[in-house]
Amino acid sequence: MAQEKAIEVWILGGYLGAGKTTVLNAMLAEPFFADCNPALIINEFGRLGVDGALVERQELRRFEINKGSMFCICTKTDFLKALAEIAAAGRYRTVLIEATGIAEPVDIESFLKDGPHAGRFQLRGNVCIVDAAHFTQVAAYLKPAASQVRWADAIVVNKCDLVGEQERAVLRRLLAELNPAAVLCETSFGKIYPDFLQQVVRRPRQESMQPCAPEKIFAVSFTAQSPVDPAAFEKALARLGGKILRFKGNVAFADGPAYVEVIGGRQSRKEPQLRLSQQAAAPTVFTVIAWDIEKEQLRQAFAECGCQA
Amino acid sequence: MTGKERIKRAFARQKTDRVPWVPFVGCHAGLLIDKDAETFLKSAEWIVSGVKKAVELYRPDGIPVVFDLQIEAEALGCELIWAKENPPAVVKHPLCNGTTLESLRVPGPKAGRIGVSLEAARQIRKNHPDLAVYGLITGPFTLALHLLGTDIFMKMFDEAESVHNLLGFCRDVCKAMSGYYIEAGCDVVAMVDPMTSQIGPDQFTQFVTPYVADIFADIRKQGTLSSFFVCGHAQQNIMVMAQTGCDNISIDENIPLDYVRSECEKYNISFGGNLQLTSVLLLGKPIDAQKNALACLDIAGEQGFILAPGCDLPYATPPENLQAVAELVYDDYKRDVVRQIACDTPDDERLDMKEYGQADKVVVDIITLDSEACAPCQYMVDAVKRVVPEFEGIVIWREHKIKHRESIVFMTSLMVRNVPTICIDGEIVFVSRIPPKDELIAAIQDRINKKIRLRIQRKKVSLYLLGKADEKMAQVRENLSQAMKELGVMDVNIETIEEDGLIAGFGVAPSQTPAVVIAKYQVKSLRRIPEVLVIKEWLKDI
Repeated sequence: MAQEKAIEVWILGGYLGAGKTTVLNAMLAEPFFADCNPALIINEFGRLGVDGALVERQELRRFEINKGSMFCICTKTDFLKALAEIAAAGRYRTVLIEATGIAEPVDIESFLKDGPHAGRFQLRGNVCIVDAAHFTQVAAYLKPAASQVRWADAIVVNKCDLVGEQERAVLRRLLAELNPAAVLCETSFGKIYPDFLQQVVRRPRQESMQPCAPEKIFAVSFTAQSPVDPAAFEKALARLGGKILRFKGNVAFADGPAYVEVIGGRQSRKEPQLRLSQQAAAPTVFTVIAWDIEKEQLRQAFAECGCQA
Repeated sequence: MTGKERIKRAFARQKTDRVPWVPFVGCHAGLLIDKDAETFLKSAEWIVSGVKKAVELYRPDGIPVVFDLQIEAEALGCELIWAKENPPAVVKHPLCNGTTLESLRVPGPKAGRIGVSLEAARQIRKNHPDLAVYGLITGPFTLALHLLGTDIFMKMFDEAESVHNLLGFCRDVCKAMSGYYIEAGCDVVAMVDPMTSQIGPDQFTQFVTPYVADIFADIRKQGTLSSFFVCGHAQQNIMVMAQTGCDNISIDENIPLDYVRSECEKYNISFGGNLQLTSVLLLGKPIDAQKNALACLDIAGEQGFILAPGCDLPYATPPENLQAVAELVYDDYKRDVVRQIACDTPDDERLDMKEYGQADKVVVDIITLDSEACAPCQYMVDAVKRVVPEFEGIVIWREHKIKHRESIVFMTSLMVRNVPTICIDGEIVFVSRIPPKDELIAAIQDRINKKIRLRIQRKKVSLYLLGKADEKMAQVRENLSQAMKELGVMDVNIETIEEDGLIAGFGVAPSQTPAVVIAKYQVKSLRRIPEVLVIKEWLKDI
């Protein structure tokens, strides 16, 4: 008996709000998917039915997964059930999985290799949607945001219309640092380039399946009780340069306090937010999101202008 | 030592008579009393009945009242969707839908399903005075996510103070819930905060530590033990979790148990986990559950460890898998057996035993741990030894001690999963049961009868008439034909050999003719390559 062809699986990941469902619709409209009858597995934290309802091709079979216990390992049972049903149906050649924004892609990959249907499914591509306007912010706090990029075969940078060229350039460098091999599509409104999907090549991974990546992007909060010397502060910022992705908070300069914000290298100042300082019990309180630098180096840079992590 | 005492001593990292075992029976208890998850989780009566059944079946040292991380969220206005085989899921987050944090109040002991859980806790306490009763509360970070949704990750940078305010409120809810459960008689408050696995240690220290440390201090002040449950990829946070003042950390299969052990030892706290939920407990067999449990026990050691599943048990977990874990926990001997089986042979090392048992004699194989060291094995071997002489040499027996690798290969090749087991001619006949004499004799006799029938069906004979064609040879041929006719034997091949060289090949000199040689054939193997072990059995017959 001829061996049955494996069912191709596409994973669509990315943080909530990055535009996954829009990209999903764009993918389903592509000739690449238009002719086949893919099954959809939709897994979203706390939004059961919402994403499913937004899928334009409502005729497609959808499996919606959302458990009270909200983690991949706990949703594994439901995933395996869905995969078993798809395998048993015998009429699907392709499955698209829209993963929750907090999913670790390695977990989903492991589900495909596990259980009674192991071998029936083959990962064809892992597509990660990145929100150009918020990725650097989210990735510092939400661990899976960076690992979703690391494990992707293709990255769709969405909402590029919301950021300037300088910020896009920083993001491009950051994504290339996290995953130099993935094909990139910079876009807005979830539109993907024609033939983009054909360019996606599944790369076998030699790395460990451990999702805990070295922390390339991280956030550190600083406080200071004494006034900050403006010149020393500017010097620290200049020294760190592009290592700072974002900076936000009150700085009590010797010549007066200000709420300082740095995004994509651009600095702006506003009136200080008093509640922030009250809560931290410090006139200077700010958070820095940085990348490609040792935490200790960052701490040292701001320690030189009197700020402690 | 009662289960409660055992748990308390383990939490204090003191020696116990054995490792305590706590199955996290949540909606799975509904399965045990034939109720779906929704019906079960909404009724104190069913929760109490389900837990009672779980206690009967799984013989735990401790048991959670209920495992549902949506109880507080529901009481605070989160909309839920219910499922038949899962706990409910939060589908709407009130702080995303116009509700303000200031308008939320810490729920009272009767709000939403909190009253159901507390009523169940009181009854479970009464029904099971010797068990450690766990009251499970949703941790502040996970509760904050229920209330605000995943926007929290953006706000940790954009509006850190509002996230702190929210977490402060969630801390107050946790403290209230802990108090309710302690008042209802719970011995352990387990704070389940799986969402913390999504953040790194810096964010944990900034956004989680201040609140959970306060909660654990509050629980301690009330003279109750605390446990910090986390699931998911949370290895990066174990050290900072251990610094929060909890008495115990419980983890799932995503985190290596040896790592958790070493971190918890540094802070002198206990730890628990991490039986695999889906691939082993839900989809595996009892032996898989036992092997997994044994691996956990071996890694964790005997002090300060509580054997438990990694998280809430899937609804449809086969009860026999959890019973198998209980059996292992209670029985040293069972652990030894599983330890041997754990050195399982890969499929390609297994022997093809399809032709086993074709020897003339009946072979009784007894698979044991070691009859000199293990009482049940000894009784089983003795039972066989007593019976075999009655068959006067046509039955042989052998003991296979699974301490030896070749015995394990033999055992797995015969698909034997339990020890001791008796196989007769390669077929499993008595499993973990010492057969009464009559029963064993009947089983062996049955096999002998089958064998005779088979032998008759399988044997073929050739007759060789050796000698030149003369009168004597003609007479011999005639007599043979007569005999065959009288016996009704039709399928005997008769061949005449006249050439001297060929006659000599039968060990007969030409001067000794006419001679008759009977060659018997027995089909031993068809369309497969017999194993050496099997061929040896055939050769022994010769």
